[in-house]
This record gives sequence, C-alpha cells and structure tokens, in this order.
Amino acid sequence: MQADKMEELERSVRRLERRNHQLTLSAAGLFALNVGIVLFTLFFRGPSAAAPGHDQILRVRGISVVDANGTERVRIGAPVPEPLILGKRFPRGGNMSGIILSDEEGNERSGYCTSDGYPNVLFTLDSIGVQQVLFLAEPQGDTAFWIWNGANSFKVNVGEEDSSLNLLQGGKIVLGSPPAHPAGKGEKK
Amino acid sequence: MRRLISGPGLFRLAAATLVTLVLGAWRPARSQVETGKVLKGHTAAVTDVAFTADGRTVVSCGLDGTVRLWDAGSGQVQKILGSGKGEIFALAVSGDGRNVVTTGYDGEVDVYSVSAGTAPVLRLAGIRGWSDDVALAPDGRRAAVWSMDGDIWIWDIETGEPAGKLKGQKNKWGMALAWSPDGRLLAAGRSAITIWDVASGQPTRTLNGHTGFVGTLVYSPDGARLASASWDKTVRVWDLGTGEARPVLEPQGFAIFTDDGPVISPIRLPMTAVAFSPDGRQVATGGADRVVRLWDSRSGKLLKEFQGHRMGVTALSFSPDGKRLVSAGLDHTVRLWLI
Repeated sequence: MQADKMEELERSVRRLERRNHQLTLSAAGLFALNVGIVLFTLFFRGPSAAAPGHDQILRVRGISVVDANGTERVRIGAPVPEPLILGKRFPRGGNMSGIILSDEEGNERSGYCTSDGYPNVLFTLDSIGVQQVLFLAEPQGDTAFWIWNGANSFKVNVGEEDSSLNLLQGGKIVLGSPPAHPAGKGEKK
Repeated sequence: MRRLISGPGLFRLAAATLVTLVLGAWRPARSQVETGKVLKGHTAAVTDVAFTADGRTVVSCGLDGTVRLWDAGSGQVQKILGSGKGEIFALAVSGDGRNVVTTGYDGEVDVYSVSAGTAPVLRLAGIRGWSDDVALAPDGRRAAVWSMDGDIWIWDIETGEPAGKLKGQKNKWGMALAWSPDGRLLAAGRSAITIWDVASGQPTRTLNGHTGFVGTLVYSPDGARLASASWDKTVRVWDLGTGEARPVLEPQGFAIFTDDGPVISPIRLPMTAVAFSPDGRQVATGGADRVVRLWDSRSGKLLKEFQGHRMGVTALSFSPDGKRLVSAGLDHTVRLWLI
C-alpha cells in the first residue's frame, strides 16, 4: 500500500516536471516572438509608414479608378484610352492626356485634357455619346465656350482680332453676332 | 413601411417621386414588368448576343474578353471561349452553329470552332484600327468587318483568305453591318446606310434619315426590309422597295430602379439594338434606356415592354421559333424573355 502511494507520487512529480518544461518552452517562444515583433516594428517598417510620403512622387502613365462592379469611372492617363460608349470603342482622333470621367455604365461622359500634336486644352461634358459642353483654349489665345443640343446651341468664341456670341434655335441665329471664325478644333467625337 | 422610413430608402423614394412629379413619369402596369431569366457570368459589359440556329444555345461576348455559350433552356454556361484579355465588341454565329466569329479592340477577327477548344482557330488581321461589328453571310463563310480607313473587308473564314473589299469613303467607318438573307447584299451603317452589291463591290443604294450613328442593322427574314437602331434615339424600319422608313419608332421611357420597383422617366436615349422576329411581323428594340420593347413591325404599335436590365441594352436576338428573346446588357447580364 505504502509502495503504491510512493509510486503515485513519483508519477505526479514527473507529470508536473514535464508540464513545467513545456510552460518554460512556451514562455521562451512567446518572448522570442515579442522581441521579433518589436525589432521588426523598429527597424523594418516601410518608408511610407516610417515617414509620411509627402516627398514621394508616383510616376506612372495611367491610373484607373474602378467602382464596386469593376467599371472604370475615372482614368488619368498620358494618353487616355479611346472613348468607350455603349459597349463600343471609338477613335478619339489623336492622343489626349488628362482626366476622363465615365458613368456607372462605363460611358465616357467628361474629359479634362490637353491634346497631343496641337496643344489645345479642353474640358467637355457629354451626354451618352454626344459632346454637349465644351470649354477650349488654343495655344495662341483663342478661346471658346460652346453648349449645344442638336440644332440648338449657345456659342461664345473669343479671338485676338474678333469675337462672337451666338444663340441658335433650330440652327438659326436668334441672338448675337454672326459667326466669325469659330474656334474649336478640339471636338473629339 | 420600414423601408420607407429608412434614410437611403427615403432618399430613393424622394428621388423617384421627384422624377415622377417633375418629369411626368409613370409607373408601368404590373403586366409590363418582366424580369426575365438572368444569365450571369460575364464580369464586364456584355456587348453582343445571338441564338444559334437550332435555338438550343445562346452565345454572348463582352468587354471581359470572353465568349460564353449558354444552354438556352437551363441558362447554364456550357463553354467559355477566349482568353479573357482585351475587349470583344461583336460576334456572329454560323448557321450550322459550328463557328463563332468575333471582333475586338485588338483589331483582329477571331474565328472559334465551338468543338475545338477555347482558343481561336484562326486570327485575321490587317484592318486599320478595330471594327465595332462583324457580320457573317448566310453561307457561314464570308465575314465582313469595318476598317477605320473606311473600307469594308470580307474574309473567307474557312481558308482565312480575303474574299473581297468594299471601297468606302476615306476614313468614314461605321458601327453596323448586315448581310441580306440571300447573301448578295451587305448593308453598312454610319448615319447614312449604304447597301452594297458584294459581287460587283459597288454601292447600290443609300438610305438617309438617321442623324446619329447607326448601332445595329438587321434585314427582315424575307429581305424586303431593313431595320436600323441609331444613337439619334430612333429605330427605323426601311422598306427597301420604296426606300422609305416606315415606321419610325421613337422609344420613350428610361428605366430607373428604386427599392420600390422600376420607375420610368419619359426621356429618350440612344438606341443600340434591333432584331426582327423570325416571321418578320415584330421587331424588338433596346438601347441606353434599359428597356426591351416589342413592336408591330408594320404599324409601329408598341406591343410589350420588358424591364430588368439595370443598364443599357446592347444587343437582341430572337429564338428561331420566335417564342423567346435574348438581350445583352451593360449590366454584365444576358436575359432571356418569354414573348
């Protein structure tokens, strides 16, 4: 009986020793992990986290912002791609660089661009498939502001030597001076 | 009721009410609202769709660079063709259903054999720019595409050899092509529609009337009429005997989807799709207004409206038995409608 108790006590002691050994190893492992995390945090942080990226410049040819459906809604590019309208592409008629906005269906609806080859700068607002508003500045100083819907339009052109303002209804001038030398080589569609 | 008092719901309701009051919108009758069977799988806008001649399969393509073959009964995808790269704008299926021809932004015409893997068996290059449409002649061999130099190229898709070129106006390319049922004529649409005698390579007639791009052309099954869908917001059915457009369809009603159901705003938007029923009595139309409409092709009477697409409709095709209609949409879906 006494021998049995002794044996039981010895087994308990051995179990406790094993558990103690395991706990010691675990504690050592956790300590090493903590030290690793601290060292990594101190010495291996990325540059953007180590210091605000105020002095960083992103150099790319284009940036595409897509919505939750994967449809491109904003494109910054040099050049920007050909216009996508109602599921088809159309040639822009020359490279342009700048910003393009598209609606949720992917239709190009606005652009703020400079053109390659002839250095115009322009800003447009489009319905689905048709340009409706145009702001344009040409390199020599001629400028234009046009809004139109079919045969109805309001066009202001300002040149170095003359200027014009025309309100047209059904294609006929109802207000303003006769058309002079319309600026606006920047129509893209 | 709970939906009505929630913030976004209230906003949408207010917006819908505003549209209804200010623009005079109306809510369609319940019988007009058909959501259709939705075939989902494309990951970008679906740009073209067609039934095969046996009516068992629907073929679609899209800006995700794939061509999908769907079981027309179950709506399940049977096969996916293409690399998934680039944008595909249009397709044509041969009458025997063996070949599918596509065009895309890469400027190449790809010929797929449905039974021969997922890559094209033939790639035809040479046009300037790219073509927004491709049309396959009833013989299943001659494929026509626009080149942006203004010419129309015709290839034999069995041999890969050129089979003709129609000399167009310089740089005056268009979006739509259609072969006559007898395979002798090819209609090509910019805003004016030119009909070419393919054998002689000469234009035989010009149809004037549209004031915007023609997005789709289709011959009636008897070849006596031609239907054109245009960005000028009209669909015209041309009598090729007289050259007159009658009827001129002016679809009105832009589908806006709210939590409370679809609301129709009475504005008109560009038309992109038109199809003749197999008996020629009806035409189906679709466009940026998201509504598929069925019309009497002679009287121009509106017969039915199908609402379901959440974005513009790009293409339409009737089943050979005329009982079903399939539509493709910018909302990434293909929808099957029971007529």
